[in-house]
Amino acid sequence: MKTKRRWFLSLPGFAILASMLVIPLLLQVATSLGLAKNLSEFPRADSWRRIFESTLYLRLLYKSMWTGLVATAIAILIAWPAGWVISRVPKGTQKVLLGAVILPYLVSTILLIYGFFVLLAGNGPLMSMISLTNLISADSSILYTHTATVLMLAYEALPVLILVIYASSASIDQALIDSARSLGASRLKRFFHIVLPLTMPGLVAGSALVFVPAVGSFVESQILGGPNGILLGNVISDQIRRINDPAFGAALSLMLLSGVLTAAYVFGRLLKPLYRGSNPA
Amino acid sequence: MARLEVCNVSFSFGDTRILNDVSISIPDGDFHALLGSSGSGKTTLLRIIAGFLKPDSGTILINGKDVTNVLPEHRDIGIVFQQYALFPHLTIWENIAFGLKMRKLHKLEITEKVAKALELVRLESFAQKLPSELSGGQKQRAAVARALILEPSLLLLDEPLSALDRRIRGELREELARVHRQTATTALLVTHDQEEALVLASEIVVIENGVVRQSDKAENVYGSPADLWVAGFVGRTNQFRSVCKSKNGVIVVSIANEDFVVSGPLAVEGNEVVLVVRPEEIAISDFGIPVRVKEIRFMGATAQVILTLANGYELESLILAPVARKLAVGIATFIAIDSSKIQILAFN
Amino acid sequence: MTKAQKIVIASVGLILYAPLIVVILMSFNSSPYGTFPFSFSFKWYSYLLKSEDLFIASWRSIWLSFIVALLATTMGTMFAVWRVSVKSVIGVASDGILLATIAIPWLILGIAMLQIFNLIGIGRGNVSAVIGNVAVVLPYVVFVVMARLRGLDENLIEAGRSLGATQLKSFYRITVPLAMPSILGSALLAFVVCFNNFTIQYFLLPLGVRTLPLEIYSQVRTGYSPAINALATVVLLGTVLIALLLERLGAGSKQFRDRR
Repeated sequence: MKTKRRWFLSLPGFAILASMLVIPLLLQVATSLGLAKNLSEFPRADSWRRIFESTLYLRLLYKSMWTGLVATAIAILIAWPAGWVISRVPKGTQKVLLGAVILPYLVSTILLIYGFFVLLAGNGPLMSMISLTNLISADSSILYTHTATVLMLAYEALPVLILVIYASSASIDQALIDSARSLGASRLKRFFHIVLPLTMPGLVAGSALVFVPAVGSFVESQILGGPNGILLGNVISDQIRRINDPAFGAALSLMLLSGVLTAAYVFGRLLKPLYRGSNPA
Repeated sequence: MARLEVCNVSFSFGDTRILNDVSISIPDGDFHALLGSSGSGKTTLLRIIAGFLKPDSGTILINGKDVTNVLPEHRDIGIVFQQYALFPHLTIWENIAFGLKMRKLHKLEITEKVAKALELVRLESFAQKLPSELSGGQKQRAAVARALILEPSLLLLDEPLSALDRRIRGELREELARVHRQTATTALLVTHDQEEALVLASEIVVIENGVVRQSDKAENVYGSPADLWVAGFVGRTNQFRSVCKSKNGVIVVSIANEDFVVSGPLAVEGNEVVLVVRPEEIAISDFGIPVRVKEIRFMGATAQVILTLANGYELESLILAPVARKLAVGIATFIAIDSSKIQILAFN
Repeated sequence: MTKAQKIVIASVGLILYAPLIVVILMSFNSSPYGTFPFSFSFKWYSYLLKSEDLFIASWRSIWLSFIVALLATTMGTMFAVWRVSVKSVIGVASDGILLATIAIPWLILGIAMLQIFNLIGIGRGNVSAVIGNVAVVLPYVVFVVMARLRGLDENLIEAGRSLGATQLKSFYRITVPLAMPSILGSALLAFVVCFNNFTIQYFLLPLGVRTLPLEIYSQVRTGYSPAINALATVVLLGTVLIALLLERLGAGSKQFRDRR
């Protein structure tokens, strides 16, 4: 099979990607301008006007992005030591631990959200235990609060981050750590001067992979978030499922997308200087 | 600069005994080598001396102070690793300065010391480069500078040359020797390369299966090996069995029906011994033991010549190329052996 | 393992498994509100067995994921094979599109896909759901297979050719068998990702037609549903068993290969 003749192999893939990704997203632009049903009409900027009329939707966007950021940060705090430790234990144990990390997520996310629901419920197991300390009554719970959503999103981000940090950490030769020790570096110094800079690229990639879905999430906030936990994702999903205003939905959707892409770009530029030399030749 | 004393160190990993009652002593400023094949336990011993492993029993003393329970970061030891272990995200300058930074030295002081260190290993023009931009030999020199800049009591070198090309190895060997002379740091080189050990170290500790086989001056390890195993490990050998006989008041042994006068603790009438003759001690001559030339392998300046004795036994000799060029395969000639260079070992 | 390492692993393990442990625990709790006091009972499991909705939904999920995995693996492998032979900028562009598909929130993709299906007249439907899921799952397959193809030792192909195999033969007898584990692995990945993909199915399936994630969602919307606890326990157990089985099979075949 000559290399040149292989191009037809790519056709089905490209066809599906083009029709399910490229064209639809372009179509969303048209939809947001009210051109969904009838392409001969003039574009109407009603939907966009609505978005910028009040600060409501912009504040929602901000809230969603902030939620994503906090959730990612919390997940990083947990995933980093986990990923690092897993890379330092014997190989056989590594496989088992990595399997154990992935296992909960093979079960549907909905079930995990439900698990959180049960965990956080008033008079449920967690609250009953905490109420034993007599600090909080068993009736209360953080269910139906924005915090619950954030915690859930952080939880969902864990396996990806742990795996990615594990991958970066595993590539750090133990000799580098030994060498730093012999030069007098304490545990903290070793982390800041060696581990952190060298795992940073993996961390950034992983963060992007979890930040974006978190910002666009809606199920978690719907089930766990309560009245104050509404995110932009909820509003968008409502437009399509409940309210049936595809133009507005499309506009909000595009706003979300541009927000996410801008954040990703800014994030990437900010962290560029930290990349120096961390790819061993 | 300090004395290193390893006292009766034993270490097991699970059921395997890796080190068995090993003791080493390095006086202040000396350069010793720990020579052994892979699996001999030499790397484990190095890691114990450095502090990354704790021995099951025994102690490590630096200048008389017991450091067995001291963490590596507090042991005042410099380490040069086999794969250099330079921090890939820091420049050479930052790599070398690392230890000083850990000690929170003043910036000016650091700059001064790093400049001197770069001068010592002649890497001044590479200061701002990343490790990935350097060749193997340059990386190793940087690693040496990084370890020595802290003026440690002890310098440990873990097979520092084995990752390098043969040609570079020779150059770097000289660098190491020079640097050692200039800084007079007590040093322990761990290696499987006997040539390296012989060239760089004043004393060699030969270790095998976690046990010290011989610990002696370099020339003694080569010239008077403790046993047959050591003899074969540190160099090439021609081996003969013989029984010591008394003749005219002296003890002689025989090789190919020729008698050689020998002396030493094993030269006792009736002793069954193994005689070791190094290839370079077999000289082609016009009289002596008759041999036939079987094979000539030119290696540049020298040549390895395989000779057969009358009884078919093969000898390996190492001679200069010009001499070898006068020989031809199949011809008959003679060899002479200096009896003072015959190594006598116990037969067991 | 040092003490510090053990502490880290134990704490993270606790965090990861807390929701699951609670769910499993509560599946045996006869309280219909998920509250204490705890009284042991199997009744939610028998309730589960009688729940037709969950069974139908599970079956739909399995069937959908199977078809999607089949299509996505085939298309994805072909795409990967093409991709590794591309040296021009088209390769980078296609990588970008694939990355975008993974990176863009499924919410946005789902809505956009619904739009286009509406436009061409199909709207929500089983076919739409299949196509949509395939599109979303495709990048995973492509990247996994691509990584494996790239990692293949070129010397092996060259050895084959020096022994007389044509390019086509080399491909079938050397490349494909060596890449097969990754291809199968990516098929499994595709299955799992599709099985658990709530978002795309939420927007593209006809109303009332529910796969397992949607069914659970609709039941959970109304509050605490103890049968879901039982279901989760069963799913988890099933996943563990399948994982162990695959591990055994994988280990078995490796032994066989090594012995040869």
